[in-house]
Amino acid sequence: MNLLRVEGITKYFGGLAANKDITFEVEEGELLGVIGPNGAGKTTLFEQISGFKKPSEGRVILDGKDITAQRPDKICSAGLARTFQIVKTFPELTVLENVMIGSFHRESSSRAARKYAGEVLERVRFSHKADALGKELTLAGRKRVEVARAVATRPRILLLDEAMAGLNKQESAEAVEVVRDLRKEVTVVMIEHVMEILMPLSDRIVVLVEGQKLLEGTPEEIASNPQVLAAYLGERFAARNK
Amino acid sequence: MNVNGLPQGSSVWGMVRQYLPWVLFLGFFALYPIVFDSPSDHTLGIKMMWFAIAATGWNMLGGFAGQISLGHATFFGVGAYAVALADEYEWNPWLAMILGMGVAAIIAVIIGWPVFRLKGHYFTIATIGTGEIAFLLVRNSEFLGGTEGFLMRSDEGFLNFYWGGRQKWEFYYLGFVLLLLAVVSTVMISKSRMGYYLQAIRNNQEAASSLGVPIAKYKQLAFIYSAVFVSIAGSYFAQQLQFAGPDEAFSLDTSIRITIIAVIGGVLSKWGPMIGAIVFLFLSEWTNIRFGGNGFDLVIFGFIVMVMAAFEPNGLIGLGNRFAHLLEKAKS
Repeated sequence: MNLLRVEGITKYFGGLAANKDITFEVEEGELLGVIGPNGAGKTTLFEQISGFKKPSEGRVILDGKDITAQRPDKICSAGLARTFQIVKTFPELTVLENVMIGSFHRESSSRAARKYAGEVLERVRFSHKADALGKELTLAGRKRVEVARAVATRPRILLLDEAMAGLNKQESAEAVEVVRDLRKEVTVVMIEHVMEILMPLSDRIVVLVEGQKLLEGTPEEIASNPQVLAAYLGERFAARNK
Repeated sequence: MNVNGLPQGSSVWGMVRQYLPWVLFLGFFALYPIVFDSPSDHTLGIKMMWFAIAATGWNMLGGFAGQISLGHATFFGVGAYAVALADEYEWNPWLAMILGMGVAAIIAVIIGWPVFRLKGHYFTIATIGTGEIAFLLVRNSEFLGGTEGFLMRSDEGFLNFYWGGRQKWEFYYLGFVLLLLAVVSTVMISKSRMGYYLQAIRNNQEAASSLGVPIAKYKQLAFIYSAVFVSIAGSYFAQQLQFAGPDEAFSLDTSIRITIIAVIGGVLSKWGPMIGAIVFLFLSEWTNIRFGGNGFDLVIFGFIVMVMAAFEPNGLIGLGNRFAHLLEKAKS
């Protein structure tokens, strides 16, 4: 059975449709990539799945339960955690404390929350920065904290919104390794702008263009699809590669 | 816990940083009436206590959770009027104080329930509104003494919440115990899940919410806590003055004083409100003596708050931390 089902999600901003009738499913244990050019509505889609925006139409079903337009903290309790494209690190808290806010979700005592946060930091290979303040981190560090915090809530499904955008080669290679580790234990949906990062990681890929699902398939199918090339790289490039 | 903006070390210096504030504060407040032993000094010390208790209570909401209230005079007034009514009808003032705490909590829920469901800075504006409404209701209520308020005639004695009388060290220490109650409970909360959640809310509500923090619920809890302790301060205040009137207890002026004290001291630290109370009291006494009691102290405090807001939002505690940071750098 699928773990997450997005059903006919449509979102209007005024008269403009940012998402139009988007439907897809995520199987337990898989890694689904979501790609699309700027303005394709990827983040808007995540905002609706995670409860930050209310869809104009459509439903979000998590493990058979309708979670459409519930409060974000309720959705987190239901087992779905997300990161933010524009990072929202707690600047005055240390890295460990940032992650504790996540681990407190399933641990009521500070001692247990601190212990679990420490374990999560080990898993995402960021223990060496545990005592640094949120505001002292580089972008790569902040993105890592985003992931660690979300993982610390012990989700069944993790939504990563451009967890690697803006990182240099080495940093994103590290981040890819972290995601490879994490996906062994949790179902992942990740938005990524950079195709070459997403292709080798994903089991399946959903392509969004201008608010609509263009197609869905394995990385190989997507990479060889002329429509995707056209949407991504422009008509001329697509024509040249025919 | 790192509310002071500096990472904690495990060195001796770290230990000193951790325990020194306790030694300083407990030492200062415990020794104050012994070192300064005239009745007027004791009166000043008692004022310091009620401001410190009120600002510590305010700070759970305004500092930890970052929800600035300009209406806490309402709770101060509830506490003051609870013991004033007790005096009028000859109830026990301690029980009246506890009853006042309950009423303060209920009012906090009534105000908080609708307001915390709104996003943005509505809370501050709403509290100005509710504060003024309460002020006008009390002024126009005959049962609550109208514009005159209540003059009280407490008998001396611990059970009458009037231990030793208004200018005595006994009454000062009574306040000290209440302040300890406020500080110890603040520390316990700050080390618990609630303390962390409130800081997360202050830092970034969306992120907190995505990590499963029920924002409205925790703001509400902080509001209840702060209302209860501000009402305790109000009860202590009325017992000392032997008077409770709308202009002293319920006015916007009182709300602003409580806020200024916490802001001067530094809202991100549990010690901030107490530093604020000490500095506020001594400076305002000094300006009253130097310039006469014409409200000139508020001009000075307005200026200090402006400077703080511009350069060091964490108040005197923040300045102190910067200084300590420099010292540490100089040592290494």
